Amino acid sequence: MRYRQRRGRMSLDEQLELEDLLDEAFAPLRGRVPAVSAARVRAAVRWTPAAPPRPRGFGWLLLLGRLAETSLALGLTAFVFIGTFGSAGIRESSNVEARSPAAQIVRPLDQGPRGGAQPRARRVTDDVDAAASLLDDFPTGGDRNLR
Amino acid sequence: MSMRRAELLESDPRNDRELVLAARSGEIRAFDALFYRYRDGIFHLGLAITKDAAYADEIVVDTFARAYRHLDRLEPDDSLRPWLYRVAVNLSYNRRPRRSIILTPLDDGAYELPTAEELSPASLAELAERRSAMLECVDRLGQKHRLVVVLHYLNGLNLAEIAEIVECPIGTVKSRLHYALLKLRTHLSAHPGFVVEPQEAIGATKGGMRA
Repeated sequence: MRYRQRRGRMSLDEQLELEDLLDEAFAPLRGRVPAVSAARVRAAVRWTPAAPPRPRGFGWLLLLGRLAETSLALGLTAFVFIGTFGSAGIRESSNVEARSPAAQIVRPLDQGPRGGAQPRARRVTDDVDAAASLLDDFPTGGDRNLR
Repeated sequence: MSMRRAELLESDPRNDRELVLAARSGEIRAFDALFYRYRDGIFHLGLAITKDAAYADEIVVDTFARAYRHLDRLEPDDSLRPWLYRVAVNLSYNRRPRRSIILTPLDDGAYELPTAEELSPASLAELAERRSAMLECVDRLGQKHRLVVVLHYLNGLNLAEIAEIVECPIGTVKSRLHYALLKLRTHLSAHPGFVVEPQEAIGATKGGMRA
């Protein structure tokens, strides 16, 4: 093989001969065939035939369905929200009352909280009646006067 | 799928736009027709860049898988070819091995024997050597120059299509092609497989570059 060394611009003959050389060099590449078929592409993308198109004229029905879904979702969210925070407040107040069950049970109606310090309930034991113990603490002037 | 069926699909009379629209509506045959229409070109491009037939096969599959996924957004005015080739070029350069570990397969195309013409063993050896030297010179080009050479001389794309693929003006493509040929000429003159004739001997040989 001989190749003439040239510098500078390329003449048309030179270009054509270079193109011939390129064509000759690429010829075996051009003759090669890939070993893949369309089935391999379909397997790669998990081809599924398209769903049949929906009939027209039912757009309003779809819109109505979507609106119903949205309103239902909003309603359920509001219900859950109110139920969660509302029940938390109620639970707290009932706990406060439950701290002094004895006082509630034994306090007579005419000796309610009308000012002054409330008597502290004694510890309730098994053998002491809570009502009786509280009555000892209160000034029962009525009984004394009667005596 | 048999070769006969592939050939039938390849020769589908519909243009790319019609095939894309048909494939979009779920017609598998239309997508297959597109595949067989452009499969070989994309394979050759991938093979020229990666130099590995297995990689080139994967590039074909990945290119068409991407085309399938973007089927809804594809709007081919005339031809799908530039879009597919651009995807294939990007995939090829992502898979291209580093320069230091270029794989040379045993079934190198430069050594395939021609079947149509009867050549002497010496001529065949010279042809194979010339092809190999030329491919080496192409491989020594820069990435931009090599790409336009491969797209133009291997895939047969015109300048407008190449400009669309490499996303630059046609003038730039023309310029890159010109400089690529100049560099090829320089590489060839320096290649040990080619005997360099001195400048003064040009007038003595009228046979051209090859004798």
